[in-house]
Amino acid sequence: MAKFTAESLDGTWVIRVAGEVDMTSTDDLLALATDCLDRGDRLRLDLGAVTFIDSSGLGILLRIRRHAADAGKLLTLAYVGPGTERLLKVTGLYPLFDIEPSPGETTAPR
Amino acid sequence: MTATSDRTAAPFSGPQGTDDLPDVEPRRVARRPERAFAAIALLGLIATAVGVVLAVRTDRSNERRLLQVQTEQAATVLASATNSIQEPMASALDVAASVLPRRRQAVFAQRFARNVGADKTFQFGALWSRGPDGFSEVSAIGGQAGTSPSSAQARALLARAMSSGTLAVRWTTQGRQTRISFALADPVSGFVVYTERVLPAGRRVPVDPGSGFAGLDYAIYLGDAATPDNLAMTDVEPSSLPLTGLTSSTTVPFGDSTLTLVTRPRDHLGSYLGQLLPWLVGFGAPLLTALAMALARQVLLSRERAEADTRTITSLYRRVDKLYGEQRELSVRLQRALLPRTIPTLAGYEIAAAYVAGAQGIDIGGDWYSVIGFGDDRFAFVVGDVSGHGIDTVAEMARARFTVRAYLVDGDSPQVALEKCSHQFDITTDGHMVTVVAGVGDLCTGELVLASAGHPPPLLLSADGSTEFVPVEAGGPLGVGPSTYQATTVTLAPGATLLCYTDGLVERRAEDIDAGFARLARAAASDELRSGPLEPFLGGLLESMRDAERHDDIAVLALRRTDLTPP
Repeated sequence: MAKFTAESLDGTWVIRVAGEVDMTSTDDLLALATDCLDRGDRLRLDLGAVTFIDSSGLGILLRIRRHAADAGKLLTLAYVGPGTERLLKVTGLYPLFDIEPSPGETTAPR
Repeated sequence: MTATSDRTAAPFSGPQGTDDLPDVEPRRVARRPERAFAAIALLGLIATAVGVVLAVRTDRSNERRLLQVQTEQAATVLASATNSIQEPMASALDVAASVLPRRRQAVFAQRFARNVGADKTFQFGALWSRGPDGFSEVSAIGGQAGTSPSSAQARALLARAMSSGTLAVRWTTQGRQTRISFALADPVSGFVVYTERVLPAGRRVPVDPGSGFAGLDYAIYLGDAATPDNLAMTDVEPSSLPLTGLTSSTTVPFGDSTLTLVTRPRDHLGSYLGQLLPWLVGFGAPLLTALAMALARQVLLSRERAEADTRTITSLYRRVDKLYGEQRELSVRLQRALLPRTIPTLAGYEIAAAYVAGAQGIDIGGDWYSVIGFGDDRFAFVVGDVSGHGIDTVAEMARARFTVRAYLVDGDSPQVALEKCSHQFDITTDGHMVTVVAGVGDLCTGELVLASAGHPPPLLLSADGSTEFVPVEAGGPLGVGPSTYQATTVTLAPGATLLCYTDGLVERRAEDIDAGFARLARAAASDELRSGPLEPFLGGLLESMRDAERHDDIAVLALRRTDLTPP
């Protein structure tokens, strides 16, 4: 099960996602992200505390991305861990997201 | 060569075998409470009866013991009282023997006068002297004696006194009056002091509360027999004698005779509690029994309630279990119906494939595989994964499978087929993301053209056991929007195997996906597995990659080019 917290920082809504993002948590995450995108123009998904993400979780990231794009809002992923990053690359999704580089760390090449 | 392994882990039982279960088990406890109550009541009554009997007996025996003790004390008091009779008479004897004969009458009369009178110890007293002709009176106080010294009774009494040297006692009853005669003799000097005591007509002497008789009714009889004639003193109405109920009897020396003391407690002698105990037991024990029955009733009721709840829950669980089993059965059957029934035979190639359902109830997944023979020297194959679980996912899987297949059959290259498909899926409307690896191969040359829509890279296993993940450039999964895909060409040498799979095979929650890739490569390269035919190889590979925590389903397709070149 994943846990989510949302807060607004300087006009950007930040959702901190923690734990295992799988089919048990996707609906809640989508609803929360949709709500945040309705309220503000920018949404940042902080994935720093994600321990596992499966194809259902990736699917929800894509649906959030589409929702943001359709609404003309900005979506970024932050603190993407190496496991998540690798999975995004394996599935060809890495180029689709705007990923903020983590402080003090360069983005690893494919 | 066809291989589909059925690995359907089933935490819920299937629909068969649960149909004829009754909804609620028959009630077996209906008559138990009554029996339990009867047993408790019976035990309670027995315990009460035994308790009362024991308490009564204990109290009785206590009372008897206490009465005996107090009676002995009273007897001691009574015995010492006889001294007050003997002592003044002995004193008078001494005086008679020591004074001059002419003064004897005067001295006796003077000294003994204080003992004689209506409310004194004696009502008559006399000093007699033994002469050659028998006894003669020396001095007398208190008027006429009831008995003459010369009478036969007197002589017998005096003879007893003379011979025994102790106080001789006899009593006579005339009408309601009892007169006790005492004689004390000095055989050496030949003097005898003779006294008489008249008992009060009613014989009633109340008890002194400070004396040893306190708390007792008593009757004192002269001699050994407790007959009305012999009654000396009592504190009760003489007509109500003899004393009845709990009594104690003892004898006390009274000169050369005895006194018989009979006592009865006026009130309870022992503790108040001892007296109360039989009543406490008699009323308390039934109360306790009733309490025990009430408690037992509560316990039995709550147990019955709990058992009923358990039956309800069990029955509900079985129904739910059955429904889930049916749904899962339906989903699995749908899934299997959509997977190829047979895999085409390709000359010079071995093919094996398997689908393994996830272990989570009815949530079967959307993984699939396809192998297509074109009839000439070409063939195509696909492994795909629709994200999500359940019936919707299976339906979406069917659409994806047949769409990809249609383009490939139409002659499109894998990268073109995937690009066309990317226009036909939309995660926003479908809710699913689809990853696919598709390939078209040449039977003769072993050349394979591969393209991937977000799918994990296929594993190439050489005949010598070396492994390599084919570096297919992964384009976006189907559903994320129009994409283009890169073709990657790889040649399958004789004896080499290509393994296409879905992420369920390598993914584990506790680790990075690269660790899963490495584990797969190690397992596939193990000599034990790759030496045999392809079908057992695939079975062994799935077994060694098994993960007890796995939720996701798995589709896997293995393609091996045999050493024999086709004719």
